[in-house]
Amino acid sequence: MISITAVAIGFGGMIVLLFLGLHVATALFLTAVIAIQIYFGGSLLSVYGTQLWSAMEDYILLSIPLYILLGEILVRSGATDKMYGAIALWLGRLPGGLLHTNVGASALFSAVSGSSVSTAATIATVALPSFRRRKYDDRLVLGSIAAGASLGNLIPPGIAFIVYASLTNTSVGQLYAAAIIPSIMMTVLFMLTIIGAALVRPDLCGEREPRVPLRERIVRLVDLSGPFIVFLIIMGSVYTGWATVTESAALSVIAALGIAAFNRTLSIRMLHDAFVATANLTAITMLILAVAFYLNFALGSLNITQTLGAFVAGLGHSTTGLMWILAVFYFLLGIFFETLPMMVGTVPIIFPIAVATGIDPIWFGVFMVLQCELSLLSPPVGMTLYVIQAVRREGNIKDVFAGTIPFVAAMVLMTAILIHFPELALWIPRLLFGSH
Amino acid sequence: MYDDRNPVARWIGPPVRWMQIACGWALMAICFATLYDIVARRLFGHSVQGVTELGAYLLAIVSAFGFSSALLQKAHSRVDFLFPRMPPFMVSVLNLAAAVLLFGLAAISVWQGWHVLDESLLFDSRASTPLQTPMWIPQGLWFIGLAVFAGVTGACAVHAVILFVRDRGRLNELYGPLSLEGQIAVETQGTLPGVDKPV
Repeated sequence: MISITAVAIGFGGMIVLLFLGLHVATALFLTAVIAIQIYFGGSLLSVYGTQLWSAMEDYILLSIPLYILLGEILVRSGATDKMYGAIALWLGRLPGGLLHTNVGASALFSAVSGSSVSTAATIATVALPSFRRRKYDDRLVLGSIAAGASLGNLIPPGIAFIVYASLTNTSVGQLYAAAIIPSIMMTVLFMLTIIGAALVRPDLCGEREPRVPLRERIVRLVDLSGPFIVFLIIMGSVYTGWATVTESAALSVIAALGIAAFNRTLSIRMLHDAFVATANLTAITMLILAVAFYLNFALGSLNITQTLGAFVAGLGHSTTGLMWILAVFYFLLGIFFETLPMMVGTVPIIFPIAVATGIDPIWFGVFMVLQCELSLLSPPVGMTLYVIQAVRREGNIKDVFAGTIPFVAAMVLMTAILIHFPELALWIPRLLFGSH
Repeated sequence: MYDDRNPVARWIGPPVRWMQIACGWALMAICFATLYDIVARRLFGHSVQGVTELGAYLLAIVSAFGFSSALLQKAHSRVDFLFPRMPPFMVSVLNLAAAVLLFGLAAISVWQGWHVLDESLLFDSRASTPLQTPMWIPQGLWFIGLAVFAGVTGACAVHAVILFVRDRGRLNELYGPLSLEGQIAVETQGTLPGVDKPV
């Protein structure tokens, strides 16, 4: 059995390789190869080919390119502008006004598009001009867009859950079900943050929006129907048992084609651009993931699970205590890392620890994705923040950083709630799937 | 590594793009086959064989061909947080190391991938499914994708070594992490502006 010191050195070494700016896949692969050379003298390298093939021809993972394609078609279909306007009619009268629209529209859009960065870019482009005339505080406007965009992976369906499920052999359907209540709570917490800010400092929140007749608001709901239909198709077909997660992703792509056709934006040129984008983005994820499977396999062969289990048992921490330690660890890591490297790089080590402590794998998955979202939102490293600044084209990135702080606080609060009330994540899966 | 200034990208970019578009149409075909399969299952109680199997092969092929293209756009993830805080020489050493080691990964992948394909050819392996797909077909396409990736990373590694000796500034320009503008373009458009000519 590998010693805990060796595990710590190996993990530390991998983090150093990542910080040296090697490609993430290279850093994971080097770690796996070095571990195998030391403990098995290279004999396990010969299974790498088989591992690579079986990791890459995985039907469940086919949902990754399908969700990406769905997002690419939706982003290009021009559904965003109309959606933003319709949500503004419904949420604009709350204290904090259009700031809620940023959170709501970003959450809805990132839920179906699956990319926080695309969401931040699209919503910022639509939203920022309408704020210029309305005298809102810049920082809150920017922060609310970033906060909404960071919800993308937590609200089902999301690619982060698929990656987690495939690395840990958990069920994507159960993870999606588990994420429903936490993602609704997270959205509500963001909105409460805005309401709180608006009540304490009304001067930050611009003029109140004029009242719009209910009739018009209802008519404009049509503009929300596209993304909503996609969401219903995916969740509905999975939970009625009509389709698997991958099949539902395929259905949603067809629905997205329908939406693009309805908006008269469907063309061969647009599809080809979406195809190329999908292939590129899929490849980025799959290269890291395929190598991560090999790292997972290497660590499994080293009996790392037992080592970590014995180590954690020796510490004598409670589940809650351990979760808090992990929360702090991920918060610090998240300052420097983006979602995918953070998840793929840590799951092979952290997941066995969690399981050894008796933490529910489904609950832990929701926690993990929440921490990934926090890493997107926490300055100074977080693509969404820089994307918003790039769309803004004025002022300083520090405004964006400052604007995210209340929302980071809300997300930390959500982490605390999730740690102390696992039932929030586990209740719906139990309802739908029985005990697991 | 991605634009017209890079000879490797100029040469390999267009064929890889066509392969990706072909993969995109294949993905669409899988989507419609899935729709038909679900309807047939619910209404007529029979299932189309092989959608799942072909979809899984497709993922392997899409990904393998995507590797090279993503590389040409410098889109493979790197943690570049420390780079702005390092002296330029150090940065060029690390960029060289990243290029050479990625070639190492790609070379080992194609070498081990060949063993997989070779074995399937040798034993004339077929999938243990109703389709009985001869495994050399999907694995062959997958292997070509990996081979292109190894070729492209190899060319980039050699180019990086030459630039390290001759022009380290250009090395950092072509083989450094993607600029912020580039990252945004890749994330939102899936490709860098001006790289791919419209088809």
